[in-house]
Amino acid sequence: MIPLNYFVIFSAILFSIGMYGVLARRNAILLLLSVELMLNAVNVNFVAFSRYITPHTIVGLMYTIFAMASGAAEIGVGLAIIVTIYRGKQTLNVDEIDMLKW
Amino acid sequence: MGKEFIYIIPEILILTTATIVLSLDIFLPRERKSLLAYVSIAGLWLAAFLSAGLIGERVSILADMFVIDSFGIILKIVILIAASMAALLAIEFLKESNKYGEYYFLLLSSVLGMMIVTGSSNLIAVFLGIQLTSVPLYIMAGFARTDVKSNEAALKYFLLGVLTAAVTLYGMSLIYGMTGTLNLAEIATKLEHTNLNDPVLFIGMTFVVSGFTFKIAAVPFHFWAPDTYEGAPTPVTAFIAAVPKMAGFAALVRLVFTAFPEFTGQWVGLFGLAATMTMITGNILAIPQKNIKRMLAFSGIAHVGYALISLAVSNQHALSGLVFYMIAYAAMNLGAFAIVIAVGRVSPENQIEDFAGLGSRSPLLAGAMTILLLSMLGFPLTAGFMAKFLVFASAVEKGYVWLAVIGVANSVISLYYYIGVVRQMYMVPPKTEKPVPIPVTIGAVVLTSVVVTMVIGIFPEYFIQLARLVFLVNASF
Repeated sequence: MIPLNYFVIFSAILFSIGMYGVLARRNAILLLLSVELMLNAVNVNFVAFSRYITPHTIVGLMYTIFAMASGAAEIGVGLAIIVTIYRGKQTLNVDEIDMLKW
Repeated sequence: MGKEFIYIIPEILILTTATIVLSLDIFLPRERKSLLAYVSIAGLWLAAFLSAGLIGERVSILADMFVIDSFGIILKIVILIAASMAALLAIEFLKESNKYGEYYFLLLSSVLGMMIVTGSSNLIAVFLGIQLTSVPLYIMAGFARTDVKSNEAALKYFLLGVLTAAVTLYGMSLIYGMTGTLNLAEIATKLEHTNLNDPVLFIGMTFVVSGFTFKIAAVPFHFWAPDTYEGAPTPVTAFIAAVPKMAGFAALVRLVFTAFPEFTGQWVGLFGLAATMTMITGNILAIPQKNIKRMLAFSGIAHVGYALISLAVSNQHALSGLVFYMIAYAAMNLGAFAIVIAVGRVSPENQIEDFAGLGSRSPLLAGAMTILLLSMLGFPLTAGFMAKFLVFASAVEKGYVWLAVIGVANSVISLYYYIGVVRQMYMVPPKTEKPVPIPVTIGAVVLTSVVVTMVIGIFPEYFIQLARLVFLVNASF
């Protein structure tokens, strides 16, 4: 059987790639994609822990389903916000969306 | 099993009201839609009364997903009443777009999320509650769809919100991996036998705590607050400023007191630092602001800093102080934003200069604003003074005099920008002589918040007793 460590390290790498994407990318849609990567890292963690640490309960798997559902809702709202902002500003570069500054 | 549902009747009622509002919206003729606002407010007040009937109960329900204790119930009542005030503020704003149905559905969903958070005793419930609170708020921040500023406010709030949601979730997954459970009380039991210096556990805990501090806009997770407050329509700003912070604090309290009581010694460092940074950043950055909404955003950040002192102290007295602070904070902010809405109807740029000469243009509003600003400052005989007094006193009592000293010093700094607004109102000649009309709904909110602020300040005994009632199920004291 694959050791648990492999999953945890894989998920940590996935999370870090997502975090790097959020910090480095400037396009709003790519930011959303990077956040998706981070959410998937969480799901990997939960499924792996559920299988290895609490094999007799399904709490971790249940949490994964909830996390996926709420992630989907978030992305739906996010895409709607991005569409409206594109209509108004004709750009998705978050550096150019800067009316609110002092 | 069936009996347990008695305890979540307020939540069920809010869900029902939200559904009724959304379906009534289809059938009501265009000119009658403002009725939906009153339906929502009635639902909120009814839920508050039903919650009040549960004070004194102390049970764990629905497979330990939720707890009913006086801390949760009191916060729920405050959330419901504050939300009904925020609902009243939006009626005038919605007249133009006539989108009552959407707005009140989102508001009620968000309130439902906050109620779930305040009563949750499981990480799943905490997370789902926070998501249910936040997602409607993202939409509400961008409610003025054709206004680019409002869109931008929504985008910034949303991007930072999902990022912190992902970080919180990752932290929760690590905690689950270390303890094998998601129940807050069981986490505490499991941790008794674990090495507390484990770096993985520490990372998980820090990630979860930082995710919750985003909701209350504490430094260093405050960047969304000024932009979102300024860009969002003012009635939405009033709601975001006053209500969700209570849910954020409730989540933090549950986590600190129930899940990680073993770490009590370390909270002083973590929350003490966060409180200090938050107070200083909020107060210093509020000084140069020209926009009243931005100024109130930074002043709100500073208030979160004062309230965080109670989490650093983390004992029974501090918890009472926190509840008291939340009540005072909600009253002061709703009133101040109501006045900003009234003035913004005449001069929509929301600059502090627009308040010039308000003392002669509208003496009532200027007087109310002065009382509310003095209360935020912590002037004696106001709610703000008692709230700060209780929190600082609990810090001194536990021996953290330095925290109280920093808090008092920061209150002195805040004098500068609060009095700046008062000076504009009374000493600076008005730019226009246009009077400021006060719609009934906004006037009612201003009046209520001024009365609440004064009553709490002059007769604090009753409210202190109420706050002293606060206890937690499964807490370490």
